[in-house]
Amino acid sequence: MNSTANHQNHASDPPKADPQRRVLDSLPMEARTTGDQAAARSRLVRRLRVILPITALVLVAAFFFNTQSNTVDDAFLEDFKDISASAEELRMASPKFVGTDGSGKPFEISADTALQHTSEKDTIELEKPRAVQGENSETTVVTAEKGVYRTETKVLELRDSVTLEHEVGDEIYIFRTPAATVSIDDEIVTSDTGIGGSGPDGRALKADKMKAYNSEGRVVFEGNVHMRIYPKNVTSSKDEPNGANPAPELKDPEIETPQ
Amino acid sequence: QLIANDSNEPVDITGDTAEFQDNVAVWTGNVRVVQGEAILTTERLEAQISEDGNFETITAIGLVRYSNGKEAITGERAVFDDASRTITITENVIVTQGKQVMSAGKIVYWVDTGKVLFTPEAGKRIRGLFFTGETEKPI
Repeated sequence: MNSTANHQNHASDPPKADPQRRVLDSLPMEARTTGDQAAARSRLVRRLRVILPITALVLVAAFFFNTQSNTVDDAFLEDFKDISASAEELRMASPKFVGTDGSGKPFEISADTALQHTSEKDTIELEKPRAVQGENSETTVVTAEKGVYRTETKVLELRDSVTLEHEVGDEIYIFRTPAATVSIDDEIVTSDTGIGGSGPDGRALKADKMKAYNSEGRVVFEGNVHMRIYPKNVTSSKDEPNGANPAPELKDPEIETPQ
Repeated sequence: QLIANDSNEPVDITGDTAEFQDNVAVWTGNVRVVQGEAILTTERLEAQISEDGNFETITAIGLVRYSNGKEAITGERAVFDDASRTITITENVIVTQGKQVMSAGKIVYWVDTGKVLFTPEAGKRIRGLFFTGETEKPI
């Protein structure tokens, strides 16, 4: 079996090259591609001819679907989940407006919700608004069930169970009134729907109208002004252990607080 | 001696307007201060409020009338001083007690004891009209 193998080899030996060809062969030349290599290259080309278009198609599809997909970045959504916008109104939860008033003092208006109608951009309806104006001891705090803030004029109109913390003669009184208006820039709080307030030691004060000029630390009451003061030496039984001189019961029908 | 006033009672102040700025309060228009039986009425009332919210001094200006149900003192100006517990009334001061009347330039009235000090106007004398118990005729 072996001899026939050898015989075939002799037959397939290449013919003796003549001298001229030997010179050419000695020149530096790329190795000639053999048949196998050529076959391999053409197989590669044939495969690439299929793979490249498919890859291109996939890329285009990926780009196309990516732009169409409405799955937006969740973190982005989280920041704005409180805002729901419909054509006519913009509703915001826990809004907070911060700024400075006419004389540069800080003010802050916060609320449970704020509703802005696109037709009236400068009007914002507030639920449970709370306004804080001024600094340190000259701070005025106003809260209410409902309110409307007008951004143009910086006026906050409050209604329904308005409470107002304000200083009267170095003492803090809590006033209650059905409605009040806060002019941020002028630093004036006005109420003309009847106001009643209570201060320390059972003091009480009631009037038809009130106007607080925060920038001057001045507050004016008008119309049936009635103030009740308990002399300091009259302490309530809480303070006086033996209750020798209990302060009279505060609730006086004459000074009930308007709701 | 006038009747003393019970200073433990609450003080009610009413008026047409009241203005508070720092520790000064000013009432104007039909001003009326009531404590127990004592009533002070005036056109304008200015009060100096102490740190703890009490009235240190109260000044009543114009048509001042102080009465405690039995006696009445009128004048143009009255100053109540909490420290000394006195009311000093000046300008056309007249004190009436029942039918008895006295006039003076100035009086000082101790609210807790009822004591009264009359001082005549410069160049004038204190004048009084008293009735004894038996006769209706003044003495």
